Amino acid sequence: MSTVDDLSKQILADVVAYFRPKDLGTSALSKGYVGPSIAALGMKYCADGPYSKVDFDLAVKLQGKQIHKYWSNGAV
Amino acid sequence: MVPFENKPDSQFVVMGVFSKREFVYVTEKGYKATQKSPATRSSTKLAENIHFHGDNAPFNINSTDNSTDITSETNEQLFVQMQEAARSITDENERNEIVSRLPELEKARGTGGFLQAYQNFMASAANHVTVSAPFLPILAQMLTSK
Repeated sequence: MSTVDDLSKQILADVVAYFRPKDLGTSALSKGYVGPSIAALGMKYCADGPYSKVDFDLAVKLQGKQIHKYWSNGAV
Repeated sequence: MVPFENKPDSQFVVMGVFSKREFVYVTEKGYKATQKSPATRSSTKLAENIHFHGDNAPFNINSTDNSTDITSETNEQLFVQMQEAARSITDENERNEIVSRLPELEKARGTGGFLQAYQNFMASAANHVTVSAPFLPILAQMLTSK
């Protein structure tokens, strides 16, 4: 498995792990909720981990419709 | 010092600049994708975990067999292996004592006297845990299935 594929799955697992304890309903998966910031995820994998920023950006992109990106000041 | 006085119709405007940040949330598709993995793994493992061995061979579909199948055949092998392991003990007196306990233990298998024989054996083998340890799980199972 390539670095990007591997990282992509780790990111998805992280985002799901962030979602689960929030005890949100199914509708949150389509309507959205306050998820983790991309900067924090990037910090985890790039600054503190072995991946480059390019790996990270490609990995997030690879997730396609599995995770949704949005711009916000923290509230959906 | 004189306090500044606003004109009656004047306005005081505070401008704040907040930088928007990028966030992510998992979609239904992503959530489902993470649920797929365990099922895929278990179906892969299924083929590895089907074993047919001995008269009491278990047959499992869609489950993992964690049971230890104790047949008379495996029991005989167990006691032979225990004899071999006991012979590796360097102290002659302790070796002889442990070896002498094994027939007693084997004979008591499946009877009410197995517990006593097991305790005698464990007392003798107490100083040689590395020798007896590999056999303890199956001996413990014999205790409960007597």
